Amino acid sequence: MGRYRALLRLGLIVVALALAIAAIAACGEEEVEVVSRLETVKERGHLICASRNDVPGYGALDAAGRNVGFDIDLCRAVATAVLGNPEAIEVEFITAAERGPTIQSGDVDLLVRTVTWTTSRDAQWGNYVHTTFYDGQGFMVPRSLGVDSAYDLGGASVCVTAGTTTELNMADFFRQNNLEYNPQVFEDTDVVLGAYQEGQCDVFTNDRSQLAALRSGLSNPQDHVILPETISEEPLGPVVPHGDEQWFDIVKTVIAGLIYAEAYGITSANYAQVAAGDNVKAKRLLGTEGSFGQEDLGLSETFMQDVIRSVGNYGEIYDRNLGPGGIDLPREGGRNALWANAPCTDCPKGGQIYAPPLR
Amino acid sequence: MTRLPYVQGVPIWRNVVALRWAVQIVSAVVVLSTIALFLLNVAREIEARDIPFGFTFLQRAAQIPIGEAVIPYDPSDSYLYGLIVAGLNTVRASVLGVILATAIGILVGVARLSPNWLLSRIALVYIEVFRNIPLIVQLLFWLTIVLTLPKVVEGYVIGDAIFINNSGLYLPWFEAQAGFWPWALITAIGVALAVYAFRWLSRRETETGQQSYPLLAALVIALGLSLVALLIFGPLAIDIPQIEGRFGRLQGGAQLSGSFMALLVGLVIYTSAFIAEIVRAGIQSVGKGQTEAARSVGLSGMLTLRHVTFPQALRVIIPPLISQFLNLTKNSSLAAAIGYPDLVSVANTMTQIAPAISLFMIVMVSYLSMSLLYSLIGNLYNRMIRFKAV
Amino acid sequence: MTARAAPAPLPPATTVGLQGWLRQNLFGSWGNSVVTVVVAVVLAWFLVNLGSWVLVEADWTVIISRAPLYIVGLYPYEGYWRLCVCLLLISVLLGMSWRAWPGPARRFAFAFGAVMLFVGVFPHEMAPEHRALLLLNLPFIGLGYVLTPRPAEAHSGRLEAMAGGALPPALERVAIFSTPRRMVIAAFVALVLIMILILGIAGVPGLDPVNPQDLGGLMINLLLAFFGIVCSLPIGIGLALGRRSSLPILKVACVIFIEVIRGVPLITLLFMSRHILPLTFPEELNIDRVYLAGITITIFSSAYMAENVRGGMAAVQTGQTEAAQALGLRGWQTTLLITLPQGLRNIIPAIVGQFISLFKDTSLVYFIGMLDLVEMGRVSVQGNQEFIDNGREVYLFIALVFWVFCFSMSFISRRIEGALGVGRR
Repeated sequence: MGRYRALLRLGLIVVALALAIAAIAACGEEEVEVVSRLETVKERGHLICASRNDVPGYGALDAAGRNVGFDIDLCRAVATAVLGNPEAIEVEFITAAERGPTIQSGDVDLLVRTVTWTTSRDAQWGNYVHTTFYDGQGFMVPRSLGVDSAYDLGGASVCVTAGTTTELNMADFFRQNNLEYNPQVFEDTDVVLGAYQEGQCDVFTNDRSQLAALRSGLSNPQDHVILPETISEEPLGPVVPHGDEQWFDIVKTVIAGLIYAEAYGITSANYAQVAAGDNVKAKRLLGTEGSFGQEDLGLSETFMQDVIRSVGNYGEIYDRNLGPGGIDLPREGGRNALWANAPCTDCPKGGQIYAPPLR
Repeated sequence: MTRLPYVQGVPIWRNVVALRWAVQIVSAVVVLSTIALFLLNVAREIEARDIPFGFTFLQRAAQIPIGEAVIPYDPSDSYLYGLIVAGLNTVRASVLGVILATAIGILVGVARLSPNWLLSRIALVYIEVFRNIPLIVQLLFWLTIVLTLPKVVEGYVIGDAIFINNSGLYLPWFEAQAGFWPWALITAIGVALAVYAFRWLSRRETETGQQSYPLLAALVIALGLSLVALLIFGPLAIDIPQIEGRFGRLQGGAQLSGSFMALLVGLVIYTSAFIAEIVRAGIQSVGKGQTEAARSVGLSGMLTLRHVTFPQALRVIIPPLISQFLNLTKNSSLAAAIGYPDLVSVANTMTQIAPAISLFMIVMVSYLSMSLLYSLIGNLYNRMIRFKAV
Repeated sequence: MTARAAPAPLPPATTVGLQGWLRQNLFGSWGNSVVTVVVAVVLAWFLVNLGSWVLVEADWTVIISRAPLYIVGLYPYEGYWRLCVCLLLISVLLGMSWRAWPGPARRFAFAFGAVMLFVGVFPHEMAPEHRALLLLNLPFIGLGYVLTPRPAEAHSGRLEAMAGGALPPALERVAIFSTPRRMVIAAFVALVLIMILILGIAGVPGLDPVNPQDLGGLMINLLLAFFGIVCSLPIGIGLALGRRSSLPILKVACVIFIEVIRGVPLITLLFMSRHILPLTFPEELNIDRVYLAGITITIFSSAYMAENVRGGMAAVQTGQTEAAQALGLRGWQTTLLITLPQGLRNIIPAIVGQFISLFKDTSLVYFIGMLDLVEMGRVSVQGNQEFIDNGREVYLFIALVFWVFCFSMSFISRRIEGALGVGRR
């Protein structure tokens, strides 16, 4: 009998232990008070952006190890608006496959990594804020092949970078048009470009802006043509995590501010004069007169002055990274000029870059 | 495990049986509750943060391109089927890689022991260079090498049938005809007969000491039968790749794409450097006395190698060899970096729309089952040699 | 008594001198000679091509203009001196090992000193204070050497020659690291100091905390591999003991853990740890992915380590355990005092081997966006249009760096193997 009593006692000890562990586990489950992302960012002292470092013009590392690029500048603009310091950013480099999980987990404040806005991503990943760059997918072929339409590409071998919508759009296009093709998928742009140059594939497909930039880097750019067909719509823009409306609105407002700053002709060089000048709308934007909702968003009245001083307006950001100062994509006459009725005299107009009125 | 008796009157905290049980139960509770806690936490967070998770997407159409496939694939096929296609690509790379790496590894390992100083040094350099550079760097290097091959139209052509160019390697391949199955059946019978003959002649050789050439006999039986059947049934037609279309691409035959070749070369060279060392250590592990003893009882050099050195070396070689096979299979996941559509690479593309976490779980489970298969083979081998070692 | 001289036999083929050596090793037979010639021709062709490419065709700007990025990643420039001080500490440790363990460590110390000297005086862009700190490494190696007493066994023979013999008595007196324990403590203190210097402490002037994400380049490969191997040793021992235990539940748990970790590719583990592991931590505890990568690599490595330890323990002769049982040691005492120590001695070369493979595997952290040496190379090529054609230069450079490290470690491992007599029959 003693044996069983001993085992019984033992059993009791074990059960008690298990209960203790369960209790400890349960303690960990208490509800955490929800803090707004704005508060979190301010407390943390810097903004965390998920971005990339391997595409010239959008996100890259310069020789000093500094993050540069269009996407990075958008991140800096938001950091300046919230914290007053364009350097208060932490850039997390993520691969294409990581974009979804990263923004879903809410560990980053902003995803700016040439992400195409699609409805399912908007539903699954996070909230798309605004289109900051319009792109579309195209094809580049060597002129010597004599191809002048994408519909003539049947039987071709097509080079494409992995893990992007580019790959999916290409599949759609060829299937839709009943064209045979042989996809050659590579992880890195330099490999794709190499494969294209060496003739492993006949066609290079990518966003048209990328194609144009890459073509200008080839030894004989005029030997390559970008076919007229655009097979997809690629609106690129920042994404914020689901579940914080205030944060969503802040990023939206900052971008609208950048766009209107260009429309009103406010630049990093002249913002101080404009702030003291007599353009009512410009003064409202710079916070010297009236308001467009800064207080409701928890931002300072004059945050746009800081932003423009440190990163410039939309046009300046574009020129520095994607325009003449960067990979030299033409803006005039393209979709990335300001909208037709933009209230400016000498800015590129007739495009689709638009923001709701600042008021 | 010996059964310990429970001794009456000993206090429980000093009783061996009770202590053993206590440790067991405590460890069970700790392990299980850790796992439970982990899973519960993850599940709760996935729900709280609205992270897409689930496996319903597997039935939907994947709509992604897969560059090469062992079985026919179309973008309208489901995610599940796409993953199977990708898994088969992984299997293809691993199986070919394992075979080639073993062959080259043995060659280099034997060259390492060659009396020719230059050859043995070259083998050493081969081993030391290729096993000390990360595979990913090697793969990227081989890819650039493949890319510098000439274009299809200017590529190397061997006998109008084999094409080597920067799109890959194109070989004539067989197309099954009506007589395929009878031929396959007869070949299988031939192989079985050959195995039986090999065993019987080997035994005779060991028992009577008569030279019986078992390997030769077995080969003659297997190949002879198969050839005769081939002539009778004509089961296979040969499909020769040809340059077609306005882009001058090759069609037909068997194709090994450029990235597949780069992957294969990288995996094979990297792994063969390790295998060479294993082979060398294995051969050297057989004591000199063994060879000398075999010679003194009158076995010839070949017979010594076959009946004395090799079986003993094999016992040392096989277990680490299998773990190298496993490594090769796992390393094939680096294919993603050079554009070969293996499991990881395709799963990566699928994350554009499908939940990434679920996809990677599937990938992990697939690799796990492949590695279990390898463990199974390893254990079977261990059991086999244990029986023989009586 | 005149012995008739037998006809003089032909003199044997010479086996000494260059000619003899050539005959014996390269041209022993016809087949051998053919192999030699073929191999030599191919080798010469290869070397000439490689040489002309490296010296003439290649454009090394992509390496030279971004050199710091490859070595330390995005580590802030203001903190470079801290890294230099870390090197000084490593120099002292190297000097100590040179003195205490003259064989392999001497070459390592020499090589390290030579690299420091080269980088210190090579004409390129570098702040003079960093140059000075790098050159200071040479005296610091000497300092470590002096602070360590001559090992007892070095008084005779070859070891003495390598240890450089006795120092003047006045110098022998400053040898403060006189016991193994003191040396271990010194190494431990140095490691802690290195970590503090690299990561910094909030509030201490000059030691501003560095964002762990900014650690990169070769530094992060080395750090991850080193801490991976150090931390995985105790876990691996625990797992191995668990796997050897006679308690079924414990055993099964350990077996499953080991086999699952070993059965999946590291990149999938990294992906999962990056995106699943943080979910199990409280929300406020935002663990940087550098640490996540460290944890993953440790776990990955500990599964392999467990198998090494198990193999080492299995190789301990049964006579040892039987003797221990005969002396009345209990089961756990036998394991802890007899089997484990001897088993660990057996696996020292295996641990070095694992360190090498772990070091190579750290190149996979690119998968979670960390800027290690390989990813930094990739990014340099991808992100700059002027370098888009310089991929080969970059990958050749990276391959060379990895090779130098791995080869020197495997060289040392063979020396240890020889010294311990492992695997000798």
